[in-house]
Amino acid sequence: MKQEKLLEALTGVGDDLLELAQNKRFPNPWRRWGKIAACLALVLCLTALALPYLPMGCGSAKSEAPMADTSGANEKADVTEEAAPAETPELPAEEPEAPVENDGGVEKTMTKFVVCGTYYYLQPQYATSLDEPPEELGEELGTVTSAALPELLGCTVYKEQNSAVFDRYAVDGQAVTQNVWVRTADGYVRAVTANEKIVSRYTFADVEQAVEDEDADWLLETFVRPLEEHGRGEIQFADASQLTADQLNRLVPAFAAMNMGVTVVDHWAEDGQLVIPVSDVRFRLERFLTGFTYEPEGTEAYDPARNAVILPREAADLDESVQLTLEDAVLSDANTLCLTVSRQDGVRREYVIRFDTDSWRYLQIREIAE
Amino acid sequence: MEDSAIIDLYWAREERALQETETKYGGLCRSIAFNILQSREDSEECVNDTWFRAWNTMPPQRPGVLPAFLSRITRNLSLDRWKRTRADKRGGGQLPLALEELGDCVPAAGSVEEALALEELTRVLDRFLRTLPERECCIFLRRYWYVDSTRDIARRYEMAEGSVKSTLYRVRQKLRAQLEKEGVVL
Repeated sequence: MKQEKLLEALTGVGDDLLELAQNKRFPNPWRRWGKIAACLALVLCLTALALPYLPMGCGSAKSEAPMADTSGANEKADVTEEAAPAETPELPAEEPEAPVENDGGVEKTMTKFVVCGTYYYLQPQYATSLDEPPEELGEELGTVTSAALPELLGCTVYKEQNSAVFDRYAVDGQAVTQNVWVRTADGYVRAVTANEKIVSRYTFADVEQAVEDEDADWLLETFVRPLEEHGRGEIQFADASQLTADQLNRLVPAFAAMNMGVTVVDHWAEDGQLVIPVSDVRFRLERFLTGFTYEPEGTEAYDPARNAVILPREAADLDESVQLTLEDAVLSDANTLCLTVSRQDGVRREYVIRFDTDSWRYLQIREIAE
Repeated sequence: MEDSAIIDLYWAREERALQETETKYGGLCRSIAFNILQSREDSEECVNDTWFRAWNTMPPQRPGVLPAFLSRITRNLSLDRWKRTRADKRGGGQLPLALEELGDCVPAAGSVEEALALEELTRVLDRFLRTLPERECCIFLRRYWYVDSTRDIARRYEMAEGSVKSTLYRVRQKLRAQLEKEGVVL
């Protein structure tokens, strides 16, 4: 068999090559960032969903006004001007509709707290807990002045020393993210802060960098693979209004996987199905599709009684056989990225992604005729 | 123990050479054998045969890179055993998958005069691998030399599994083009 001959012939390649493959490591800074980015995305999306439930701290009064409680004023008094960071984090300006009753996991998945005017988020599914002080314990930032979890109030918060890796992503001198360690009564717990405005600028800046670096893997992972693997290669549109109900439903787990990973998809799992509250569907679709409004009525998978879209659990599975090659990545103007991608089955597609002030969205996904 | 010291033990015909080899490279050889054979029992036998063959070949041989030398013996023994057993049972495992994928690299027949000898094909592959970026080269070798699963490669090199697959796909296409360019018929 021809393949066997290749396999046999491979046996004799140079010792140095075998040694290289055995000993070489490729530490991937993107990978590490990717995990944090996933955390951030989770935080940001869930924050928007959770706003009605969260006690508000002392951040932007404008964005928080509808939900702020009286404790906000007291907390604000706790924050000295010297201690406050240069930029106050902004939560998503657009408020999605309130979660439906089924969406009961929001509070369980994140906890917000405030230190010196900056929001930090503790996410149980990503948190690391230690009994002893971590090696990376850096300078003290202050104490928690406001927290959804009363146990966090008054806890001392420290910078994580090796978060310096993210300093290169700083915008206007302020780091996009800062991992911190919270000293609780039970030990040390890791948390992260995020500023959506900065994150979105960061995102765009890095795409530019990625194009320059020809970092095909990162571009494919971020913008293409989730849709190709979930969408079975069938998702394409000149504009979002052309998407069929079936395609839309497939996009929801795809988008969830794209930014949030399996954890959140599992969050919707219920008796072998995915029960996705309409608020989640709407939030995700409108997040990623330009000028799109989701109307669940008329979608077969929509269950009005639960106000949820119900899909088979397999809808979140990946088609792992998809092989993608990035042929081209061009910033066609200051805000638009065009990716030309080919699949192993010969289909070539162009992904047009638009970056705007708060995020990035798909403008178009179209097949390129030969 | 340093590799050169282990080789000295072989040359001195000291049986401790086998213990030291087992301690240092048992895991490596066992994983190669198991990736190919998917059987603990068979891979254990292959590893034992590897030590036996190493004992018989040192001296006169003095390998430059001991782990590569031992891995190569294990791989050959495992491939031979796999060929012998596959007629009886078509099992799962990584090797059939790796073989199927390598089908991508086989050039279309008819363009060239004669099939290449195995040694010449090895030389072509060696040359080809040296033209690749390090990461692509390593991923290709982990998949088709060590017969690691894509998941294990992703873990080893801190990549997404999808990236491993797409890299492998790209390299297979490049190899196919290279084989065609060199007029290789398999």
